[in-house]
Amino acid sequence: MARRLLCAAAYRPSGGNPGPSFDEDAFTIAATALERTSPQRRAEPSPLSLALVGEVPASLDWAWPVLLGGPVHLQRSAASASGLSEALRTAAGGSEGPALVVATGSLLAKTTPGELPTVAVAFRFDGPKGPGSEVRLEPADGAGSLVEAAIGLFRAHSAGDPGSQWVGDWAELARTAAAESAESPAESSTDRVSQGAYVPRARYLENLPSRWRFTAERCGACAGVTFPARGKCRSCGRTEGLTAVDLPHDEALVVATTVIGAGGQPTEFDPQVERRGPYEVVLAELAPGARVTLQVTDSTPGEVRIGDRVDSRLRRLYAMDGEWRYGRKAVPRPGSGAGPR
Amino acid sequence: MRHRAAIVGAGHTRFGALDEGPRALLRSAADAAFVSVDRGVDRSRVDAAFLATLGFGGWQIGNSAAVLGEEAGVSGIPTTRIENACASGGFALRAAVDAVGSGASELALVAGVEKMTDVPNARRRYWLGVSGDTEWERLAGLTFAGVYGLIASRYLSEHHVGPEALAAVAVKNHANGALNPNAHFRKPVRLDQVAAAPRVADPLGLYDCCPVSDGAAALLVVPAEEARHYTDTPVFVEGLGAGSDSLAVQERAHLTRFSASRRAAEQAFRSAGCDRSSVSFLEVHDCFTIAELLALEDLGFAPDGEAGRMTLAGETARNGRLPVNPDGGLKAKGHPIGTTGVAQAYEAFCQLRGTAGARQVPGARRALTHNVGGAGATAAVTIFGVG
Repeated sequence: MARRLLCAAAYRPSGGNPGPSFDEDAFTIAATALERTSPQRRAEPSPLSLALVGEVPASLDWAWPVLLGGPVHLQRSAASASGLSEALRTAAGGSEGPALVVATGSLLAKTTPGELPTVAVAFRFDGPKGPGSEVRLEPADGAGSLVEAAIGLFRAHSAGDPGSQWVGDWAELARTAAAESAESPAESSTDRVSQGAYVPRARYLENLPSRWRFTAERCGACAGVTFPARGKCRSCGRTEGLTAVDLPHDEALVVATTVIGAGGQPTEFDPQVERRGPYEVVLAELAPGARVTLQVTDSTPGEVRIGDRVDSRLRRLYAMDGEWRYGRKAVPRPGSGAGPR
Repeated sequence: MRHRAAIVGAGHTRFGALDEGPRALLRSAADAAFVSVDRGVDRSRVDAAFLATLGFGGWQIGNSAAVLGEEAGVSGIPTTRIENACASGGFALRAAVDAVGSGASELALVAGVEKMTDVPNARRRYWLGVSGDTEWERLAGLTFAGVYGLIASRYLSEHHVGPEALAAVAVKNHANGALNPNAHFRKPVRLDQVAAAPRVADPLGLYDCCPVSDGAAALLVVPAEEARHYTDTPVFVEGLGAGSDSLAVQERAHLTRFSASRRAAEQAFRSAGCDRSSVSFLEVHDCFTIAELLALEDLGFAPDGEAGRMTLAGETARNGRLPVNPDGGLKAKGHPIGTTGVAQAYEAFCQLRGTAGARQVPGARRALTHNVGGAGATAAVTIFGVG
């Protein structure tokens, strides 16, 4: 038995135009690439293998099971083409449950320790392997970087297996590689803390499924959907017979929008406004009866309008108690909202 | 419930950026309330006191009601702080009416105080943000201006109304505030000034937002049947209503109506046993211009989506068909958070006794006050009459 490579995806941040946006880091960049390979939550949480190749802080190891919605067997490989190759071989050769590999790094050169990755490539394997889909997992000679190696591996492999799917844009990666910038996010400090709005870490952790996966609860008795999940149906008050459902995190319908100008922001967002100016916040409908308030990122304030659809991505939200807190932010859908109205 | 309680005295400090601290403000407002009782009153007869405050002064949150006892000269009696954010005042009055209506109290003091302008800007904004949903709304980057900005965007889009409907509320309330010696802002503004102001939470600009104000107000509440021992012109509490809703706006079915206000209004009119057509004027919770439009619709004085047109047509002006916020409202008179509901009742007291001076609504016989906590999580509606 062996696993089959089902899907690969690249995520190349462009909110920093070019480069990562101010609210991205190695964790969110890797998470975004991973999410592209696995749009659906596993119905029955089974142990999942996840190999991290490259710079993702070990201090966030606890976060992967939450993001992926079940137990995770976490492995780390060296940030090198051979490390990636080893991780892919292990994922392909295993047999129990799905396996994910995510490699983060720079597209053009080797990433030095501590440097922010500018691209991530994720691979999703699940068994069993089909006939004739022999995976060649040796990196091509002359790959300049880890990620180049990852892309080369997928190209070589997918040529032999029409069933595996690439989610992403090869052409875009190639075209924009030349424009890559070493720009790093400006906000890397957790020093400037909130003037009072406080969310204890335990409450932050408690609500992460709703934050990161848009986990809601569907009531078995009245079919009402409650978001965020609180262990109680908002429609009928029942606390039993609730089923956790992850609502789609893309294509949410914008029902209200505002642009927060200078002075309108809570103090937690002072550094952001000082450096980057106004930002947009929307109220978006994930499903009937389930709405969420999201800051909009990678966009021009005012770009998103009522009636638009927005996607969402995991980003840094705010700093508290010396750590970054993460959650979803809205991003405009490609091709929507760009034209004049 | 008709005529269970009456107001026989009321006091009000100036609103604005004041030198006095919360103790001095409470003392002034309470003294003014005692002095206003036509036949006089012995302070030692006050047997219950209710303090409405959110931040007090940003430093004495716990047990601040004891300070009201000290400063009002009634120390020793039971004192209770009532906190429902911006609706604290309306709910404190409700508590006092319940106390005298049930026979538990013979003379209750209600006071509101807020002191916000002497703390650094960042701490002030902290206080302005503590009463909304912290985890999902504030930490997505919203203060109340932002939450009302979302609501305003939805309202304008849903009802095909232009932003001038919002601006018209500011223009009207500033015109009223100009006539009120206690008001924070006493300058009229023009529509084009409102439209050109910097955007705080688009579509809301600076002139769509109420100011941060210091100030206090106080009321003396007695059982209705005792009222004429104190004055020939008591103001009766004819109807009371209150409601609540989810703290987070994202958990509500409707963005452009506050179900807490609707429930409070229905209850108040039912308990008063009167019609909307008998109300002479309204004091509504216009923390942002959009909130006055929502209020007119939630209280049943305008069909949904029509409040803007009504305002633009001048129907809610001081000399209009239904004057709204003759004291300038939160928008121009100011909004010392916990004080506001008490100050609205003060305005009803003055108007219904014909002592409102330049801003007097001619022939006012019945008033409705509407006090909202946050973005509609709590609401209190009170109907006052002169019997």
